[in-house]
Amino acid sequence: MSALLAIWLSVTSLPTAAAAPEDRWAEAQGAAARQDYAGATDAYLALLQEGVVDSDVYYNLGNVLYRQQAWAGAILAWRRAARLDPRDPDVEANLVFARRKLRDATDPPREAPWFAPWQEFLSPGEGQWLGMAIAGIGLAGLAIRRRWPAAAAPAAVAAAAGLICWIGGAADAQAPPGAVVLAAEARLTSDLSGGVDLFTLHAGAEVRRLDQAGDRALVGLPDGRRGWMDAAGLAAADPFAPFPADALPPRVTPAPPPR
Amino acid sequence: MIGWVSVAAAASATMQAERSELSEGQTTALQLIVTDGQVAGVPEIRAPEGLQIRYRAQSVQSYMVNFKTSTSVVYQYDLSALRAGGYTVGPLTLQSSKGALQVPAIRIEVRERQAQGSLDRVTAALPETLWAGQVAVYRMQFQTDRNLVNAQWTPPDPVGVAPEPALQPVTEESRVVQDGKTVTIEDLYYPVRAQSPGRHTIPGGVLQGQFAVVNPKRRQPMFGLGGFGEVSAEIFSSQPIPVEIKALPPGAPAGFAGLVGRFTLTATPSATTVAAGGTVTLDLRLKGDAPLSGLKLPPLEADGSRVEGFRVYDDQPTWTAEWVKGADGKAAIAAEAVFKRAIVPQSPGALTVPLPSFAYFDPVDGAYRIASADPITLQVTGDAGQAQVRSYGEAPIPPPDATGEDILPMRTQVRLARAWTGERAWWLLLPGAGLLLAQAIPGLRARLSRPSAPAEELPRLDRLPADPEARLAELDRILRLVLARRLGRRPDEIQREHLAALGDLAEEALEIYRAVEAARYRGGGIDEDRLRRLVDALGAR
Repeated sequence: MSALLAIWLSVTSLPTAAAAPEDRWAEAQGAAARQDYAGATDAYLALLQEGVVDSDVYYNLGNVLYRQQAWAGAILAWRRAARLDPRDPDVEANLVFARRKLRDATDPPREAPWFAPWQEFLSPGEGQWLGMAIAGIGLAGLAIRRRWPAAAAPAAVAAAAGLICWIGGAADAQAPPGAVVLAAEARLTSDLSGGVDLFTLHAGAEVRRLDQAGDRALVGLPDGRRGWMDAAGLAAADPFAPFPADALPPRVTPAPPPR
Repeated sequence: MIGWVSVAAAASATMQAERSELSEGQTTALQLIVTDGQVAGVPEIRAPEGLQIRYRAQSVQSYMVNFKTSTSVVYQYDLSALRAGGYTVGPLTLQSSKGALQVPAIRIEVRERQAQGSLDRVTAALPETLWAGQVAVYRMQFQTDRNLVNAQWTPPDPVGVAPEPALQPVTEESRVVQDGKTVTIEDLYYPVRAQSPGRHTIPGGVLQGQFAVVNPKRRQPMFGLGGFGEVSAEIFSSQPIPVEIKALPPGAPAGFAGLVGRFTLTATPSATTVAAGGTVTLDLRLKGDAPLSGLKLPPLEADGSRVEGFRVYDDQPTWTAEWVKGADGKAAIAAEAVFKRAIVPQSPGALTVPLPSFAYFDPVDGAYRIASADPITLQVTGDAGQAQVRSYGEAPIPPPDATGEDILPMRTQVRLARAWTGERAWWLLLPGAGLLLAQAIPGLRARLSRPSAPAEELPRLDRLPADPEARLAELDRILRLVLARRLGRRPDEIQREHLAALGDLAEEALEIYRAVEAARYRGGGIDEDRLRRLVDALGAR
């Protein structure tokens, strides 16, 4: 009897295996097909929490958030998808469409470093891998330049170009990514500790986070305007950062049953 | 001259001047010696009118007398004679670690200056009458026909006025010819702000000049290049200046913030036509002859932001003050305050934007004035979407999907993959970097650097010379060329042992190689057909 109990305990105490990403994806797709957008949101967020940081996950997450009229969350998800796959035309099309829903007519901020404009079309990781590949080929060419002297000059050019490409990707990865305003209304002030009200931004506005001091963040707009706002009302378009709960639509919590 | 006072057996203080008789402009050393006592800081020796005392340095001396060690701190000063007369310096009371130390006075006699440069002169100028708050320029001028090497100014002690912090004093140097002599003129412009109403006498400023000494016995420097020449230092002081500072009259207009000077206001809008919800930036500049540091733009309303028809956002103002050349050729003050005010119209139509005004007191007219600019009228259009300057927070919310369009559909068939990060991208650099580093290994470097076999065209076996010796040499050359090309080596370095790399042709090649060598060294012929087959076989692979 005790042996049976031990076996039963050992079986029931086995940790529950985490769902495979494909299963989680299918779960999310099924929920979305049933128009259970809240369930689909949870499934996509679970995928992200399990480390599947994929542009398609963010793309679909943006779609289900859009269906729940969470414009800011949808824009944030698509911005993160665009960060992972800048050449995806669907992401850009949805962003353009969603921006019409916003109260603030702001231009999207540029992401690429000024000295690496090609990063507009590459993710930071792609830029670094591509740069290292080109530089590696260049170094190999330099190694055998005495055997094939004609390869020396192209190899040196390739090595230099590859390094520049890698620096562009690394700088893009290190630069503060764009951010999306999540607060319903954010007053931007001229000074860290207050100052005068400069202008007001609303949920979904895309900005660049320039600095942060305590719970205040300095943000900039493409037209050169700057202002301080509460950092809590801002979410980074960094796809590897946790997806903020403030970007999700409010959930209706069922009332507790009467006693 | 030495004065000694001992208040305790262990501590004493004394004051001594190197010379007690001076001429105007001369400077001598003054020492204050504190023995076996400690004084906090540097003791201040107040100079009577007509003398100037400036601290220079201090030193410590220790000595032993009758097996008892004493320590003296020597404070060194420069005592300069400004005007002729008899003066008393001191007495002083010093607070030391061993109680109060009394230092007796010393006497200094100053004779009138012994004229060296006939044109040496120092003057000072300031308007006789100032209004409280007015910024004026105290001007000192020194002129000399001697070779002035360096001039060090000490502005006067401010009495009734205060130095204006927004602007640093400035000096100018110029030269004129007077009575056939070149006269150097040094000007000091020192901005002061009148403060205390009443009559005051501003003491004279001081200039310490260093003049090159001409020594007729000294050999003239070669090629006119002077080395470290001798200089003599002299002190000059300007005359005291009486000044009357008047209090501002009553009746100041509302909003008067203490501006005294002459000012003008200009206002320039960034655009005169703007969409409702767009932004027009007003550039307001207040210019005048007195620094404007800290001046703020008065708000349109007490709460500071909303007035009828438009919203207002003020930027941080900037203030500048600089020296310019005035109408009389002398240095004058030009100051400016720049204010940026953003105007956001709320509704279409003509919008007249009121401009702020600044009340100031004009010291020339002796009356209050208002600096103002004409109101600006903006044409506000209703086409909010076409505004060049984007609006924030004011665009109307379009109804959901009013256009009937929708976002692109969700994705179904995808290959989930974790995103690339560039952290390990440097792996791709390893092969090339490894090859490059391998250049440092001699053997590998030789292999990598070895030039390839010459791409020499293979001679034709059907065109061999008829002479037996030349024919044999040509066959040997052809064999080596074929082997070199096949083995990736130079023809002249082909050895027997290299032939093993030819695989199934190695044995045949070795026999022919030996036959050719034998024919070359011992004479005889070779089987040309056999060699021809070998060449064909090597060339075909």
